[in-house]
Amino acid sequence: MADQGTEGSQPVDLTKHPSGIVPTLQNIVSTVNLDCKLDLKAIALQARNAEYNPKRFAAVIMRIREPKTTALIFASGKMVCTGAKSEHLSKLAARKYARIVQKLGFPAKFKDFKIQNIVGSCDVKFPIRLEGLAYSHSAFSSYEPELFPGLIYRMKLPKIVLLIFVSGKIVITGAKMREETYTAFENIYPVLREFRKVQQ
Amino acid sequence: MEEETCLDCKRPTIMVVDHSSGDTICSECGLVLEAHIIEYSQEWRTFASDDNHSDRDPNRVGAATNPFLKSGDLVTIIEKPKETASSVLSKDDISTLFRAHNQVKNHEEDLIKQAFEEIQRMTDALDLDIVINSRACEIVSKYDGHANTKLRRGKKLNAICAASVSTACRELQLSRTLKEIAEVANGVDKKDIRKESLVIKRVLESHQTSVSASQAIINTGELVRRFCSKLDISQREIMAIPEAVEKAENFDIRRNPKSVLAAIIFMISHISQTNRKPIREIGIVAEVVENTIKNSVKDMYPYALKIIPNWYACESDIIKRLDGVITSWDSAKFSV
Repeated sequence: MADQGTEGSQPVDLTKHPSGIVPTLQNIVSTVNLDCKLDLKAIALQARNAEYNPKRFAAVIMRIREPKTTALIFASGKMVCTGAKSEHLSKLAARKYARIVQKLGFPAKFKDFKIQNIVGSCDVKFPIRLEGLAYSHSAFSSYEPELFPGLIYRMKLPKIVLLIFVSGKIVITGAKMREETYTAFENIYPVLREFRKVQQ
Repeated sequence: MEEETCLDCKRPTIMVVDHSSGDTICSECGLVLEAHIIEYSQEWRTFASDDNHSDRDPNRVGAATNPFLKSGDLVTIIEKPKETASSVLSKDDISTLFRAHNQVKNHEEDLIKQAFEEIQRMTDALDLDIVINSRACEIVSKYDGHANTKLRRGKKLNAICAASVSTACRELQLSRTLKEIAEVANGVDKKDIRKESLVIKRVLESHQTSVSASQAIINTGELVRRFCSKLDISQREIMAIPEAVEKAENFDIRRNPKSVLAAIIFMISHISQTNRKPIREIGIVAEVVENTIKNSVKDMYPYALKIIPNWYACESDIIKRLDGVITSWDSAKFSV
């Protein structure tokens, strides 16, 4: 059984996901360079879906409904797009924002699109002994229950940060490619099985 | 050279005083009459008035050298001139000397001494062992000696001291919670202690020191003995509680380890009729809010039969007493 999210219900490819669990992508952060100077006040006044508070933050915050994303648009022409659920949707959303800026009269281009961060999550469906895991993998683990209930696992290869909770829910962050998220989860899954809480 | 009665020769002979070892030796037979004579005058030059013997200072030695400081704490201090000093030197001359000395003095170790004093204050407040104090001073010394980390004046110094105390406690398996350390750390937040602890961990790793795995996390078992001794719990319960804590780790209890420990202490002390502890007292010692303990007890109640050792209480006692207290809590909640 696997949670496929937006990819529909397909059988899991066990060669790619030996654990049988496919992490769901939850958020993608991407950047793009529109390559022209922008008048943020004009954008905020003309665009309906924009908010701009220069005292608080030096970028226009723009949102579109489909795909449901948020963009930060800076005066230098750089843009950050967050909230998409897949790489393709992130690029599509960034193109839509660029198109909106073009319609407002700026000669916006679409250069250097790059995925900066991918956040994934999944549920292994069994409780995990975080103390034992932190003790055994102390070189990678950071577990401070007084500050944060999850264990922060900094995997070296691939260079991914995982948040592991006692409930068995896992958050995988820091990936720049989808395959890194999958590889990180397949690496950690045997460890989670080893520190599964056995209710005797 | 002086003449005394030698015990071996049985007659007055000439004595030789060996100043390097402090011995008085008979010049004829070599018998040592006295050993380790202590010279009580000052070891270094004193500038007290020669004509006035009341200024004579009988101090002999200073404090022990500090191995964590490059200078070994062997520095000269010129104090500011006193108003009532009847010194040969005038007040102006001493002031000039003080200022000149201040310019050439090595200020490099001022901060690290301040850090040592802060560590001493914290370990005193927490009633910690001198071993932890020494280890924390050593950690701060390594931190200051590292290329990328330097002690700087300000609030961060307190955070570094608190983090070194926390690290030393964990290494020696005498852990204190971050909250306990934060309370004595002069306004330093738990998050800051944690942040500096991670920096210290990297510094120790780069020193090729073997960072023990126990540093990674407070083991709940370390807290058991301290919490129980604060609560004045009987020996039988003290034996039951660590066993219950160990068993509880295998069950799906999604609670902070401190909350789990507090709930276990409450359940075990509540089952014994003679020595019940009020939940408020347990909350104060375990740093857990009273309501959290109640909710934790409710979460753990389904596993209570398996967690609480069967040599401590039989099955019917556990069910009867815990069920009674949980029911009374629910009734109190409805009546509010």
